[in-house]
Amino acid sequence: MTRPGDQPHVERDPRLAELLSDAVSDIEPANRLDAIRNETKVTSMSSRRPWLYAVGGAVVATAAVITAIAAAGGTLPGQGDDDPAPAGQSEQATNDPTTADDTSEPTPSETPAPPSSSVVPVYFVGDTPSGPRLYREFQKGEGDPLVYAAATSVAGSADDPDYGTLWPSGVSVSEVTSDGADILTVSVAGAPHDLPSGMTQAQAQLALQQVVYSVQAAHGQGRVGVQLLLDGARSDQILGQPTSEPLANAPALKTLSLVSLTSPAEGQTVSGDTLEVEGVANSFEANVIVRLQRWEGTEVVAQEPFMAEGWMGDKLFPFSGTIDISGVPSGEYVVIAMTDDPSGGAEGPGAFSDSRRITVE
Amino acid sequence: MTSHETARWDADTALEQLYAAHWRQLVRLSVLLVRDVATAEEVVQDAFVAVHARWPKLRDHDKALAYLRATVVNRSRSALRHRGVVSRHAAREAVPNHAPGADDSALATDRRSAVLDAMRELPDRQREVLALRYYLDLSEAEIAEALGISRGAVKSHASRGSATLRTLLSDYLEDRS
Repeated sequence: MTRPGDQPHVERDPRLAELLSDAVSDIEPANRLDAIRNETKVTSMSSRRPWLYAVGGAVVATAAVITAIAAAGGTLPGQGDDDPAPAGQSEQATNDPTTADDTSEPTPSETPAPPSSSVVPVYFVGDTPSGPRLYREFQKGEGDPLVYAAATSVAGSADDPDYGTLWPSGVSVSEVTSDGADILTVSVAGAPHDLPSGMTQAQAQLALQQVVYSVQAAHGQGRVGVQLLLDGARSDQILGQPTSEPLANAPALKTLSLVSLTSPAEGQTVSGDTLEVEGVANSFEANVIVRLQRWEGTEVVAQEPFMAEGWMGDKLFPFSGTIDISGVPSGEYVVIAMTDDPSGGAEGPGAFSDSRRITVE
Repeated sequence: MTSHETARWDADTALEQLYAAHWRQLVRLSVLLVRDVATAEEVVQDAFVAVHARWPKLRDHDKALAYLRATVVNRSRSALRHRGVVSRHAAREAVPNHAPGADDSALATDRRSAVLDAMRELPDRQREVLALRYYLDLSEAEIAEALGISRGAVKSHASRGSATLRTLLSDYLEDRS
């Protein structure tokens, strides 16, 4: 047998390998599969969305909420005039100076985008305790923000892998125009006229709402009507849903995740002593819980209660604050924002949550 | 069955497949790091819970396994810190007596204790690199990814750790070569 030298190769000394394997060869661990199953039930209900929507058209269906969306997702321009939710969100998002702070403050690496691009809000589909709903994500978009928002939403190109789209693959958005004060026209190409097989009416409605919410927010001028064109012309239907008239946004509290993180961004690297967290939520008594948890394992290294600016009414309210990370070791973490669920899941669907994976330096 | 149900089924099924294929091996890996079997079982159980929670961002058997390994190593390290001085002391006391002429079974028990003791003598990173290299037979690149360190660091930890182990376990290496 040749004797491995001490040169810095990752030699695999077979004698050491045998000794190490032998040292644990008599260990027969107890069966803990049932215990793990019990814990995973709790975990997936309480803090994490248990799976995601595939990019490019995985279709997700759950009963109750979808029905609600189907019933509520109307085609009436001006529906619910007392609900300025998308406008409020989008103004904050795109036109308000606070948005620039969102992305530039926490990390030097996230310094302001070049002039050709802008920070664009995009709505994607993700899972919630009430079934699939829309989450908002900010992206640095090239070109026309309205086209970028609609096209990115339809394609499901989210930074957060928890998000996706309900649109079939192969659908594109070529143009978005503003026809005066209160109508945005979105030209969609390659979309099915009829309801695709395997897709429910509710899913089709939510797919249309992805576009409605995205372009309204990117436009930043309130809840304007959204007229969809199919391959350049008005169509009585897209995805089997009536589209001959402009679409309104469906009610926020039945369509959106009740919490959505604005900052940090997915994959962001943060340094310094504080982590800036911002988002929007509609939570019991305006309480939002923000947690910093290790990416590996379930260890919670910080948890702070945040207060949103409101909680009554059919919209999401901004919240923001900081988490002290001065004592947090560098590594991979998950930021989780949760709505407050005082019943602990006993009443209603349970807590909504949104998460971002970050690196602490 | 809707896609929704398929996705849920996938997360739970993935967990069970990973458990069937890797539970015993990962507990043994953790024993090489923390020595205590009950602690190792706790660590690996937590890792499986964590991988289930992260399945949405993994969705792939190989990625999930890589995540499991990294989590087991990290949590084993944390468990060692929590146990701290007390267990280190206990491990010292558990150093086996060498009884010449003992039967094979007793010899094997002694040898296994000696190996686990020797592992405990190493710095964390060296111990982790050696366990992944020698027990799981991972490549340099896989170890670097699991530990979040450079390949150069993997080489240097492996080299130093191996040298120390060869010294500490020289009796057993000579006996067996």
